[in-house]
Amino acid sequence: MKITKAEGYEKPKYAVAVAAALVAAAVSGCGVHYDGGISMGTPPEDEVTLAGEETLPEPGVEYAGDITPAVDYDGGLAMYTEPDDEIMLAGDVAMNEDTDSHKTPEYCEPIDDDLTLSGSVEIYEP
Amino acid sequence: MNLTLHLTDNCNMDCAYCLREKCPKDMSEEVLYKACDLAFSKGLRAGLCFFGGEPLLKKDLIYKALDYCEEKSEQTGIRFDCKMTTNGSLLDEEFLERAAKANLGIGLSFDGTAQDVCRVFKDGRPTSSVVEEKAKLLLKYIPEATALATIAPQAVPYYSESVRYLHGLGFKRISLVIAYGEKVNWTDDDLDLLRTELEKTCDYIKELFIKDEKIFVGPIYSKIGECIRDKNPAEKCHLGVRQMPVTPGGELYPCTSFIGDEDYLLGNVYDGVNEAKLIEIAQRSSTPSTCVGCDLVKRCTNSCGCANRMNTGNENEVSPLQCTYERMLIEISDALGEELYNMDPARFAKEFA
Repeated sequence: MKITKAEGYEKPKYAVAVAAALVAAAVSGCGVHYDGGISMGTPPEDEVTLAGEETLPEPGVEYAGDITPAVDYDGGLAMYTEPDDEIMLAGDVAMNEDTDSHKTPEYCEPIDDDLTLSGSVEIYEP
Repeated sequence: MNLTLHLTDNCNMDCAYCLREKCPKDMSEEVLYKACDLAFSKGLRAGLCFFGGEPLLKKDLIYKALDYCEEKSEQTGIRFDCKMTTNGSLLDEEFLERAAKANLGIGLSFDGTAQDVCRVFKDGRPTSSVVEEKAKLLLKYIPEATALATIAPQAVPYYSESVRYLHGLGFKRISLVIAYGEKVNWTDDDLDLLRTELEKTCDYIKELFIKDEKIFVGPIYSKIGECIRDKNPAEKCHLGVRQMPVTPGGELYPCTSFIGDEDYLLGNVYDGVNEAKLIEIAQRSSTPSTCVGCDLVKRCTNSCGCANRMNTGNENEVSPLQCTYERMLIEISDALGEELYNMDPARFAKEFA
């Protein structure tokens, strides 16, 4: 095992295709069509909730709108906004830059984050 | 804001890879209520994750916190979320009824068919039969519970079999992480075998996809979903500054790996968060120098200060283990993503996007 920098990485086709289709759907408001003309329609439904229970938001579901960075596809740029969610509050910026300049007080503010399961390291949740 | 409450430092198990020092130190009611107030004091919602040690050793505190926070949520209009990570051995119907009522999200630490390889009771007894029964009980009350498997090197041969087993029990959400830290010793052979097991797991996921059966297997699903949405794992972590652990004594730290290190003390539930220290610690974290310029820098977990600290002692330094594992995981997840997309693009998008 060793630390190796990856080179020549290209975003996988599945990701490019789905992201592009979602952007198109968000912009047009119409259903997404993939190969074969299958319409995706509305966003994925939540999993089954307990019978008799009020339908509560699922743990792990993001409620604040999440504007992701621009998606590159076919040389074009677009923004993808998660459907039906509020726009993220200003000041909350993407991470992992080399400089610390983006780590303002706003960065540290617990605005509207999803609660996550705790473990020794990050737990993967839907 | 979200907090992880370490209700106790005690545990009734003695897992081979666990780095936590166990001792009979419990959170007091006073600290508990102060922590609850702190969770409601900032942000648009309040969240508590009950943790430990083993949190179910302090069921009384959980009941008190739930009652208190539910009332506070009604009074303030602030949404309250709650979760718990538990070894499951102390679950019972009374607790699960209350948990279901509170919509408590439960993560059950369960290593699948490798359970008895690493997870034993303090007296050395195996735990698998007990935890399997508790898992069935849990799923009866909370069908969307998550199974959390920690894979140490000695558990790698059981990886894909464990996914099948846990899914067969009824878990629709399975999260697998590899064990880090000084109690495990990974070799290249272990990672080669892990690759094979990940590929076998992908074969199982494909089988389920063809049958249109629902499952979430982290980290594979997370890697695919994050890739589609261009989500950087670093956006979630923030070195824990947005979901701070609260120790039994009420101290605040950025994440579990930093508990006890005075340099990272962020305050306490009585005095609140030291904002200046919070920003200082946040600004201290940066992309590891070895990762700058790597094409996968925004797809891997190089930003996880906890994992880095466990492996290298420095939150800004990744280990060869982590790099090798993450590259392997991304490659295998992407290959699966391509296959599933080509099988059925619409359903793939619905499931992963």
